[in-house]
Amino acid sequence: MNQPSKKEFIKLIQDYQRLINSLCNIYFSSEEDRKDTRQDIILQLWRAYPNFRNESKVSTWIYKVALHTILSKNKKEKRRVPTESFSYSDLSNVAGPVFADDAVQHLQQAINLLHNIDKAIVILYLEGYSHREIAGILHLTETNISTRFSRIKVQLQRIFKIKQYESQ
Amino acid sequence: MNLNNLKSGWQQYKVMSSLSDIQEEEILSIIESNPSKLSGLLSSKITQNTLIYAFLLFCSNGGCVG
Repeated sequence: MNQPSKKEFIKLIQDYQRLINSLCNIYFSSEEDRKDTRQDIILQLWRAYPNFRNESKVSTWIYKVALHTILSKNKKEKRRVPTESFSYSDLSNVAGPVFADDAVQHLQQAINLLHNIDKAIVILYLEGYSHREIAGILHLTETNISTRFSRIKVQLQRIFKIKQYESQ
Repeated sequence: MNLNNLKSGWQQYKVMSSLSDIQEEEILSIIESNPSKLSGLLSSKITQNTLIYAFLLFCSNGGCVG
């Protein structure tokens, strides 16, 4: 690939680095893992860049490549976050830095207790994607997304109930 | 449970990233280290497949017999 393309690509990464960083932060707890994953994502984006034809939004393309890179990395390394049973210790030891803001802290704690794919679904939902678009990004069926989404809501409700109970 | 309540939290989370900003040199080093790895991987795959093909061809022609 020629030099102008490299420049374009670098600009694109710098413009969207917050998105990439936030995904690395939410999926990995150690700084080293986050940096490694960010490198993997950039490499995968670079490999996919010649085929990117602006048919979808840049952010959608980045989400797609980044989430697939993270999910396959986690699958390989068999790192699983607990999904069913969680307790006070889970809530206080979740991955990621602790933020003072309540909204951010709640979100972080709740999302970190979800299964990898469910986490991706919630993130994409919070970004405003429809079930159909999420299905397209994650290569799942729309029905599968709807089913998982209902389950996620119940799970998050349980997490927040525990949080409320613990804060009383 | 209304997940829309978490939307503002996610927008703030994206801004409050703990990873340092990535510099141009870092991106360049990632993408420039890629082609050599890829070509090395490809050539070893081609060699491996050629050897397997040659072995199969050799066996299907009766091997050393005769």
